[in-house]
Amino acid sequence: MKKHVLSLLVENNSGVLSRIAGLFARRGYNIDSLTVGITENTKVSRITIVTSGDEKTLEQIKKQLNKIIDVIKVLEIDPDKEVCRELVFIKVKATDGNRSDIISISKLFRANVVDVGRESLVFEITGIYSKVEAFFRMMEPYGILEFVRSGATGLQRGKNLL
Amino acid sequence: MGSSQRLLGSEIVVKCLEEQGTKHVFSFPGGVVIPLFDAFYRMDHDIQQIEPCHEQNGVHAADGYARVTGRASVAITTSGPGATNAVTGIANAYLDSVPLVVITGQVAQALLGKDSFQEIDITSVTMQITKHNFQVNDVTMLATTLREAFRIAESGRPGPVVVDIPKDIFMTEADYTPIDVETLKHNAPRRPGPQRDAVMRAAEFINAAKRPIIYAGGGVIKSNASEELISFAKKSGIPVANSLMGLGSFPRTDPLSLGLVGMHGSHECNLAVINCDTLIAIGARFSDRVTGNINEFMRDKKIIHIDIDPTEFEKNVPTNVHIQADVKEVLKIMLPLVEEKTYPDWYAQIDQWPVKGRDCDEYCPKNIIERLNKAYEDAYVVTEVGQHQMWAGQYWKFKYPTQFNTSGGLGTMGYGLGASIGIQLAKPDSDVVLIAGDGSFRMNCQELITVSRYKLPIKIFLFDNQTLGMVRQWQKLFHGKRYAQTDLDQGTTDYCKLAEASGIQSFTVENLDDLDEVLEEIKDKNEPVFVRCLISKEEGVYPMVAAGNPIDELYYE
Repeated sequence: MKKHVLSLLVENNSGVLSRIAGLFARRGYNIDSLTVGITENTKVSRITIVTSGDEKTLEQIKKQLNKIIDVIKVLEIDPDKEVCRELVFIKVKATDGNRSDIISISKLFRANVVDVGRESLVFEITGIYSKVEAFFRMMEPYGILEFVRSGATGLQRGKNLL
Repeated sequence: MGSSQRLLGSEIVVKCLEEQGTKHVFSFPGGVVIPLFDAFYRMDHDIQQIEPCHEQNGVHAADGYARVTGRASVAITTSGPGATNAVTGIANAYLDSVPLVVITGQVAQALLGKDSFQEIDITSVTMQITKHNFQVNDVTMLATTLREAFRIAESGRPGPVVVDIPKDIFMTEADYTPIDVETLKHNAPRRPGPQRDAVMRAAEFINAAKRPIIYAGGGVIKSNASEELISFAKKSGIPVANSLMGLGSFPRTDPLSLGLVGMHGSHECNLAVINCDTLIAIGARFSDRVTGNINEFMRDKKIIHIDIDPTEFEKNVPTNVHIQADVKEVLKIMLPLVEEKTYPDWYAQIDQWPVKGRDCDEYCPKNIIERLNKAYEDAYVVTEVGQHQMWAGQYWKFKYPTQFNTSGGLGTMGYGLGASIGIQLAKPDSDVVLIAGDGSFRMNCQELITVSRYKLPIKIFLFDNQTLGMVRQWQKLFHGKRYAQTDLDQGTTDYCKLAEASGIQSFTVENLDDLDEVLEEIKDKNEPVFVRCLISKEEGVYPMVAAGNPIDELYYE
């Protein structure tokens, strides 16, 4: 199913996150990731939701979100056209024998080494799905011990504002 | 604009309700709302507090009140159990889009989050069953929040709003400046009207139709668009089917009226809807109880959907055109665009479809309802939920919008008695008839005490078959007559004594002569009356469509 990135401006009221999460739960919509943060306006927060579903479901999601009183605006962001990234930390098994191989692959992805241990490496990589997933594929043979993904966030390019 | 005053939070609540023109509140006291009730007691105002026996029924009363007045109505409960008791009432209003402002008391802010006595996080509990809810954490925001609650409850697609107020907020002072709500409404930004091109396309579809049907729902009543619907149907010559919530939006006695559609719709109405080539859904939401099997329902037809709530479009059925706006406005704009027409072939086809049910014996639900209808033609009709509700929907000849008041979406057994109380208070000069079943009635029958206490001349007709008739009917048809838990008693419960215990005069009828006699006797009584109509538990609601089947596959007994 196609992934869709939705960017929302919401009133910074208590319970707003529950309202949105509750809507997804009740109507059976998927949440692949969800991030929340402050904005330039202290009364407003910005939420980025990555969801998957067909066009019809996506339309319903957008309309249902707009119906929540605390939601000010909903915009779909096309990750291929706009600025869209997520931050990933990934811990890979490493030995004295393969450590430099792994690091040289990571350089191709512009991943940074943020921790070096005797038996592992932690990389930081920023990107969007295809890049992150390609990096995961390259790391798999060495053994991925664990990872954490921040979930995508995004902004429109140019002078467009949400 | 008046001048600013220094008032307690509790006093601000009373003032804000006065601003809204509130005449009655349905309130039940408790620990954290004592300061609020104290303000009602001390202050000079025109608001009458009505005290139900149970908060659920207070909310149902507010719900009934709101349905017939079109204004948001108010219920007040204490925190914890008071608030949770209100939950079913709130959910009922949510599913039937009824504007309510429910004020719940809350423990003082210093005690929040500590599992304090009677503390429940009611905003979380009601999040999925309210249009919106608030907890007031700053007394300076109290008036604004209450005004916003009314605005949200009444605007667009109406619905319930909960305002949770901690006890210390009631006891803290703030500046209060009165506002004129009417001016505020007048100055509010106007909603965008219907999209012109969608209206034009809809009119084209309608003018090109060979077998059109209007499917009118509760939205027509909410938007006060009954007159516009009547003009539209009469000019275009299009027959009108109603969802349960839409009954009354189009007079049942009109030759174009087909009545109820769906699970218990008539043969001709269901066949007309399923065989039409153009379906014009107005303020209706294609509930599963209307559509039955959705694919069969949609077959070979164009669907035009008019609603104020855009989330209803494409939710249950795809449409050819949808128009998002107030139904009343759309119908006004559409009227000059549709051709004046009649459809003789289509009418003739529909006229061939009626199927006569079993010949009704002298004394059967259909005849009882028709007798009541004759005696109380103009009355507000309220029901509980179950067989009696469907009989009322099928056989009562509704004349005007808001005449039929029933729990449509949630199907809340126990709704009716509370709702009748609200309706009688809102319409003191009208007859209010409650049609109840014994299963529903026993859920909230304690409110007979409230009926009697406030001397509300409600006429209660209890269809007593000593069973949960609708469930029993499903067991009979689909579960091999295994009547699990549906038979309630063997007629040993004398509901008349219950009525008498509350000082309400009661009658038992077992045949039409009895009924006629009682109706004659109570004709001019301006006091509550309770009439127990004993009926056979074998009586069913027919026709019937099994859940999930196409609506043209109807069962008859």
